[in-house]
Amino acid sequence: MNIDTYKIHLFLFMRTDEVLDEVINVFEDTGILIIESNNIKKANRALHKMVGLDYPMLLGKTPESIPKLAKLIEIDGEHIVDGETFFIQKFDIDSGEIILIKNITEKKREEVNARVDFTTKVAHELRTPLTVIKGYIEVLKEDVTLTRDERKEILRTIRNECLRLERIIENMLELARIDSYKIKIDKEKVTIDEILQHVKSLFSKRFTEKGIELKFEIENLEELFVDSNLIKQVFINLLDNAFKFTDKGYVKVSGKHKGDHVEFIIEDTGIGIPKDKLDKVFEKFYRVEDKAHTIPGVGLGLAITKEIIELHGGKIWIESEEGKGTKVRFTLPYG
Amino acid sequence: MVKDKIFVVEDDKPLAHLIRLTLEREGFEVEVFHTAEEALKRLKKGLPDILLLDIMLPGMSGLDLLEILRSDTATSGVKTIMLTAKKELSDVQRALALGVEGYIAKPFEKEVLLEKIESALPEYYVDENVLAEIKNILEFKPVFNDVQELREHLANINCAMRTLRKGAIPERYKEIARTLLVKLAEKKKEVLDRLANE
Repeated sequence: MNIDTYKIHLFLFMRTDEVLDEVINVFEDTGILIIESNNIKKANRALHKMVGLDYPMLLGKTPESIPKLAKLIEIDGEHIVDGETFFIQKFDIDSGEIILIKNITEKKREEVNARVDFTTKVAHELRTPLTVIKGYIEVLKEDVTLTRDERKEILRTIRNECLRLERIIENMLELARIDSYKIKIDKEKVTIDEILQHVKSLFSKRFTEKGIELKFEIENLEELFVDSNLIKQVFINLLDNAFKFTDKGYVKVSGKHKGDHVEFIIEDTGIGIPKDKLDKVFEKFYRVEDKAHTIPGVGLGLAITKEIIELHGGKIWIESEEGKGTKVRFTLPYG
Repeated sequence: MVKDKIFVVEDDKPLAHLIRLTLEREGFEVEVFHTAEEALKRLKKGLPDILLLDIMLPGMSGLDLLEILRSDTATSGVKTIMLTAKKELSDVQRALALGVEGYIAKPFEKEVLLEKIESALPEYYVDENVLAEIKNILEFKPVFNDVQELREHLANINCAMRTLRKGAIPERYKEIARTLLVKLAEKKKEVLDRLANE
């Protein structure tokens, strides 16, 4: 949304009229206004569209004489004007002022919708275990005919439901933590071996016990500049998924150098993901049907993973064939 | 006296189990299904008195199942209570348009569940046979260390009490029904107290 100050200065270097006209009209969704001695010197097409005038009718007029513009140029930052949200930035130049105006109503609406959607899903995820816990406590309290074994079984269920709640809350905190990392992420130089050693130590016993081979095929890679804790979390989440959904065969982690980035693949020979569900698996709280009820999890792992990778400027995608296995690929830039 | 039959369609297994436990103690006959597909298969063979139906199910949703049931004359009449964590207006509207007896939001109290079920139950005609059965229940002496028998006895008491509260009772039996209801309540308390003391 922000056009950096240095770009504004670039503007000023290009102040031969034809070039400037061309440049300001590149911005299709940001209204650009250059005012000199209280007259509109330049105004791009986007701005004309915003105030409902044909291009270039604004030139030479005073901004106050255009009703909609008069309101907008009085403010700075994010404001609601006539029910629409605008983001306005002002920059002083020697001879006057440059004003950037962006209508962010739609973006705001999407943000709100996403938040409402997320809150609704969270509430739903929390309600079911709560119902069970509350209900069973009542049974324990009231049902005097329960045998010792039945009581034990009920307590076990209550405990499991508490663990389920705990997992949901932990995952949500993790998401919130990643959101805060968007402001500041703690990158350091780290070798991939260092990260994978840690991950290997967490998983090798579990894999051996389940009888699944855990393989690593890592090229000699340059050092990465990443938040090592977050990248460990990525491998943990992906290997945890591969582990849960694979009953026989192997899980393979491979890493390859590819120009300015490195590509990792976590490949398993598990149950796979149906084609029509592939684009949904990164959604928060999404769990592929059928499997969701036999395998513990809350459906936040991949959402968290995706956020971490994107935070590092990488990409993640999934290929899968039902019954054959899944390949999760992700990239991390060296920079 | 016939026990009312309830089908529960709920994908969350611990919750489904809890509902079964609660309803069986209250003297209902319960069958549980974890998917709409399973439930549909069973419903085609015979209907329960009440269908408790979760909206968010894996695969076919509860509302989709309801739509199928309503479109077939063999199943269109089944009395349904929706069970859901989603209070979305569009879902409520769709359910209401398809005709449901009620709507229960999770997390729910046992009392709310029982209340909704009881008010949705069809009226049961109470004749002298039913009254005789209830008298039998009152006279029944369970073996106190036999948990199974005790539970069955409590369930029967609950079922009898519901029948008297809910049933269509001819005027001439009204007084008897009132007395029986009081006695049943006393009996229930007695059984529970004795159990609590053991």
